[in-house]
Amino acid sequence: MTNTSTGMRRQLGGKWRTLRPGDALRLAAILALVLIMGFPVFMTFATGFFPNGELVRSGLTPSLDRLTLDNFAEALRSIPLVQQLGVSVVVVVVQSLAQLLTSALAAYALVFPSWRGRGIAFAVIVATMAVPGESLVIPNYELVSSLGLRDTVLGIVVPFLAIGYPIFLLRQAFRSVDRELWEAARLDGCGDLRSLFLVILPTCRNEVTTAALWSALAAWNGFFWPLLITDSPQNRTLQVGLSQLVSGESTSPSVIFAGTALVLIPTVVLVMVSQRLIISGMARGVLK
Amino acid sequence: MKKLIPAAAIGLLALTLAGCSAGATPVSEGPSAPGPDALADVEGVTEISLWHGLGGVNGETLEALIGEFNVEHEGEIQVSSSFQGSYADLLAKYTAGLRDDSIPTVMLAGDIASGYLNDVQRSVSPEAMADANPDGLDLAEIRAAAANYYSVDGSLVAVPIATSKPVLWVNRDLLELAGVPDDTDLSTLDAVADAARKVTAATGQPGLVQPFDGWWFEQLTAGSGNVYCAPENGRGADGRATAISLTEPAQVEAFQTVADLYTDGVGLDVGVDGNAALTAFTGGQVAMMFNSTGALGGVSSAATFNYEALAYPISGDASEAGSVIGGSAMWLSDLATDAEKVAGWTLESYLASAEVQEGWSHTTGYVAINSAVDESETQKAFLDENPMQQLFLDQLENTAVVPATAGCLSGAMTSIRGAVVAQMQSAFSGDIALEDALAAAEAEANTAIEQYLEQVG
Amino acid sequence: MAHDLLGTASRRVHRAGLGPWLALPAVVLLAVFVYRPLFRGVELSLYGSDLIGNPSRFVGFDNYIDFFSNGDFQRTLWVSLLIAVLAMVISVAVALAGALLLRRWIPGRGLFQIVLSLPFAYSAAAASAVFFGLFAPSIGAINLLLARMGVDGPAWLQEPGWAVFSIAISTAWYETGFAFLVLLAATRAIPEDVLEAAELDGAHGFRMAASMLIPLMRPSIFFLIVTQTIGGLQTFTQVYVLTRGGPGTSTTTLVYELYQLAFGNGTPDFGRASVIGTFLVLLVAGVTALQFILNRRKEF
Repeated sequence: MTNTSTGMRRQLGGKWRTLRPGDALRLAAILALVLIMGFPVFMTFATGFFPNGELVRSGLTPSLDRLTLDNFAEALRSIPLVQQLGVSVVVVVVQSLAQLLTSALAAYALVFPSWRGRGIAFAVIVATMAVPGESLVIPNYELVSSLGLRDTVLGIVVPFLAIGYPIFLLRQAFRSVDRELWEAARLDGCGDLRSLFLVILPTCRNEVTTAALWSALAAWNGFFWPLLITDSPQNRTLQVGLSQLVSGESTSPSVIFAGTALVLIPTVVLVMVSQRLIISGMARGVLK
Repeated sequence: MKKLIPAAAIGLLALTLAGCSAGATPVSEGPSAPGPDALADVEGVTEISLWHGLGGVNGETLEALIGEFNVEHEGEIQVSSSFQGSYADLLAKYTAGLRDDSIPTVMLAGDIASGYLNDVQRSVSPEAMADANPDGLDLAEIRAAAANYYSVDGSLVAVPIATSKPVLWVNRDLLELAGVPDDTDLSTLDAVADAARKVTAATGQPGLVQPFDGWWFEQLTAGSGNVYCAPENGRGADGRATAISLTEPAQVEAFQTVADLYTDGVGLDVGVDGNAALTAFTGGQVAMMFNSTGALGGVSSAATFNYEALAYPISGDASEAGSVIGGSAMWLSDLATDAEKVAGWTLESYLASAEVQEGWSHTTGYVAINSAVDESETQKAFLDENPMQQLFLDQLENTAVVPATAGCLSGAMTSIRGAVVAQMQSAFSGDIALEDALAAAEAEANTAIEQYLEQVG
Repeated sequence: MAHDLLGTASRRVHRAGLGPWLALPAVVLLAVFVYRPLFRGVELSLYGSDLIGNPSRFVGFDNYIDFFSNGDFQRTLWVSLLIAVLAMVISVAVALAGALLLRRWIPGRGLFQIVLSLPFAYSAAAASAVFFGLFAPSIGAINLLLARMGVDGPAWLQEPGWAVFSIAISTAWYETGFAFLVLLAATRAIPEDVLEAAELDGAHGFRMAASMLIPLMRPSIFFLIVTQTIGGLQTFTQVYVLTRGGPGTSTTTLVYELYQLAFGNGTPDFGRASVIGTFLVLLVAGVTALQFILNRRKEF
């Protein structure tokens, strides 16, 4: 029975808990879907704890006394995962901060001060979003190489210090900020930089967080460029290190699963914790 | 580097000596080869680098040997070695290093990289180094068949270190079951094919497995007495390889023999993976296997039956045909300082020396490339206990030193192999006729060679 | 006086000053790392290269002619398209099913949501590593489980026909995570009263989905189709981790071929590789333009 009185319902999240007869079928379908989609995740984290092939051979019901941490040790031995974690972290921090900074500055310039080339600048910046990164790899490799940054962590981040998408996001966010807020700040004597950092950015905390998370995720997941610009195992990111673990001569699937599980811990925890936030954030975005 | 004048004088002497060596040195002609004084004159430690693509036990053994070298030469030479992953990754890293001249002092490159490494001309001639450093490696001690692979126009361009040979592994139990007694002559390709067919007829199991790696098609070619690429496998006085050769009658016949085994269900298809072939063989699935001497470890640890390794069966005459080696060799960087070059040469001499090669061959299954090993008492004792290793050595020693067994030298080998393997897989699975496959492979490979030659400039 | 005050205030607010220059860092960086390489790539493609990969002789359009006429183009484009479309269809379909099934409450919904979102935590490399293990010939879970059901599983990564499909499956799996988040959000954004009206009209289950939900989710679905297709055309990581372009060349995508030509095949050739780079730019621009046109048509 639906109740049409206002104030008792919420638009987002559908808190009505009515079940219908057909829902038994729905539950069955969901369970099937979840089991299939969740299987790789289960395997990722479970296989590493047992000797090679053990988990599957026992029909996914291994005896707990076969638990072992050997695979994880082997994974850490095969590739310098700890150093690569360091590299990945540095890449994420530097790239995200750089992108946030350049994007905030650029978005500010594109929204608040009015100047003649503003429209063209925006078009030029946004157009880069339609260029596939892989097409730029070779010339960038030439350039970064000639700067002596081959096989360095700096070389990994340098081409990505400014990216079109976060600029686009922040510009949209800034445009929805009340212009009077900005004008008030300026009247108070704030220069451009101070108005940006002290007034505008704090107002757009949500979008800034979204942009930061997007940059961080892209930096963490990056593969093609880091693969090409680095060769020494200790200068490579975790993602590239994983691929070396897979192609290693003497690594068995259990070790690969163990290594992958280690690399996935940060993002899996992140997704589990913030999954609701992500969805509601996106839903708000759609509504706009 | 500090006392330039004496070093230069010695360098000049070495240059003169190098100029006296027979034939043109296709590898890096101009600069002179430094002698021991270049290293002795340097105060402090000379640090050099080595890159390799050996994983697992082989890699560990190598690193251990280098460790011992470092201890022996403490205060004088320090080697830092790094494992670069597969041979392909190793070569990719080397190629990238060429851009900013950051290549290692000693590069342990895979066999088929030889054409490219020779063409980029960043390596010092071993003959020049040997002449300038008489206390180091004596090149005459290197087994001829191995040296043949790494020679251009009669001159050695790299020092082999890890050498393997193709052999025929047989499951004696399974063969007997099929009515192929132990004394059957399996030294020719036809005999092996017959035996394989008998096995399938009697037991229903496949008689032979050949991995589809490009190496095996090169072996079939060498076994028929033909060169793989022309002219003279790219090693003659006529210069680089300009075309692949896939349509010589004897060669095609050899290919056909094996292809027929596959299309008739006698051959086991495991794709390109040698390890998969090994697993099938040790699991008793197939009676005979083409694999390298390096498979000894895997076979001995997993096989539960009577097995034996026999010489690779050839289809031609033993005086003009044979098999080609595999493995890797050491290339000394021409971009290193004189002291570093001498240090690198000292390392190479050490790794290729009889004592080291003896232990190396026992642990890894590679064949000792230094013929002086044969005189060692411990080696003789070892061979008495391990007759299979004797066979491996005999294989290397008895291979005719002719262009056919030298293997193809071309910087386009990777592309050539890609073209040939793809076509052969189709032919062996019966999808297309062998002649069509060979013609297509030839066209593709020739295009690759042409493109490569354009790059050489 | 008041007019003057306003004028001064307005000028203080709106004087350009530092403002526009704040865009300079981004513009310069983008010019150096996006626009310059874009043109340099085209330039490189017109040159043959030497043994190290550097451009050495001008060959005009020879590289292009070679690429388009020797079968490489058709082969790699086909593989890329196949993977892109297969992965997109599977992931959008699965994500849509998940979002629709979980729209209304059901016990355990929170947990189900989390599980279906988890693939989003996987990068392409991580997902490929996992599927490498699952598809492994003798100890792979998938074939072992199939064997228990009496089915003889194929050699997922070693058989030419199956290899492409396996890559598409791995890609679809991890793409589903993001797609699910987007589509679930889209269902949440649909106003409740609209749905209630439909329910009162007797629409349930499939009818509800087909006539109401999906049409209302169309922008999100369209967005996913476009971004995943464009992304799929640029597939590299999965191929590098799972098959290295093999067996043979059956899983060599456009970008993987680019990699092979420039860095992977022993003799680097930046010229030929840049041909693919240039083609990719045009391809993506084409698809983006197509999307633009289709989008605008809808507004009418």
